Amino acid sequence: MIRHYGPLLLAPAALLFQIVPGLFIYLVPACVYEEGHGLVEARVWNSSMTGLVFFAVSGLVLASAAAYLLLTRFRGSIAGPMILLFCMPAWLLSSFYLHAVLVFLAWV
Amino acid sequence: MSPGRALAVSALLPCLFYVAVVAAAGDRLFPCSRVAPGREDRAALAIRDDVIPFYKWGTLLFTKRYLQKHYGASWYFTQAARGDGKEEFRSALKHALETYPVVDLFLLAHTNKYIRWVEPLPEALRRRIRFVYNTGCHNKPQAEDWLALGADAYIGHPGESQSPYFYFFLLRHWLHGATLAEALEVGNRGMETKFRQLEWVSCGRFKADAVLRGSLASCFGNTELRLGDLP
Repeated sequence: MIRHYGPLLLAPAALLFQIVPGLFIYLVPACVYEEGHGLVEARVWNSSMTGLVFFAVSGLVLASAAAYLLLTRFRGSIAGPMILLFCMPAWLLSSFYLHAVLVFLAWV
Repeated sequence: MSPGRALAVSALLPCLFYVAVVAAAGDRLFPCSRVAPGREDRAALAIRDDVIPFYKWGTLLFTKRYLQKHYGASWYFTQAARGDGKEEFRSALKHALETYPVVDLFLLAHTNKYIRWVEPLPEALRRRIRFVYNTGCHNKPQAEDWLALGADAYIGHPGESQSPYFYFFLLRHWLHGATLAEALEVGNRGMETKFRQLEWVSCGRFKADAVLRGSLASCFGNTELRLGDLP
């Protein structure tokens, strides 16, 4: 059952995963700069970039894997709306993080 | 759908989204860009004032690596309170001015008077300050004072400014070989485009023209300066 319908769950999971980078972006600055927190600023850039790279790549891979499984295992009438509803927002957000990372790295 | 076509679609779509994000950002890309010659002869200092943590974090992420890449030495300061870090900033600036022929300053702070931190330095050292960018609201009139102090060029904003939009374009184009005049033009144009988009998205609640009046930056002094130029 799960094996059969698992791919259907991956697409919403890919979108739900986007909550994590959102939390990361919300929490990291507060941890670094709010009073009483002791993260050294010198390490902030490296750790923040590591986190953003991870979330950008993971988000893209998850959404693409979900889209691939939907396209190969389900009819277009199911795969299409699922991709539109779940994979596309995940791709968009992950692409945004990826571009931010590449800009911050001064690569583009 | 066949696995091959499905693979192509699931690989191509994220690429299209990336292109869309780049287009929405509104600035050209600088892939595999080279660092302008004379990197070892220039240094930069940047200081961020005490704002909300997210702004401090964003400014650090955007600025730090660019300065490290394009300057022989760079210092980045984040203030924890108003007036904080004065001695550290002055000490680093003095060291930079003693060691490097040219030093650029990025004052990433609301309305400020960092110029008072620099005034006590010896004139011979102050003459090595090359370019000062000040994001501060209403800090455009400081241009004369900075130039009199020894800076070759100064960019500031006239009123209540949304300078982060401008700074995004200015820093990238200045570091990639544009003259200050060119970077200023790109920055002002890019900022205006963003304001128009915000006005459209907010159905007119964001007043692009009003914000633009306070934000449009001006350059004083040597506007033909390039990153690789030496005195």
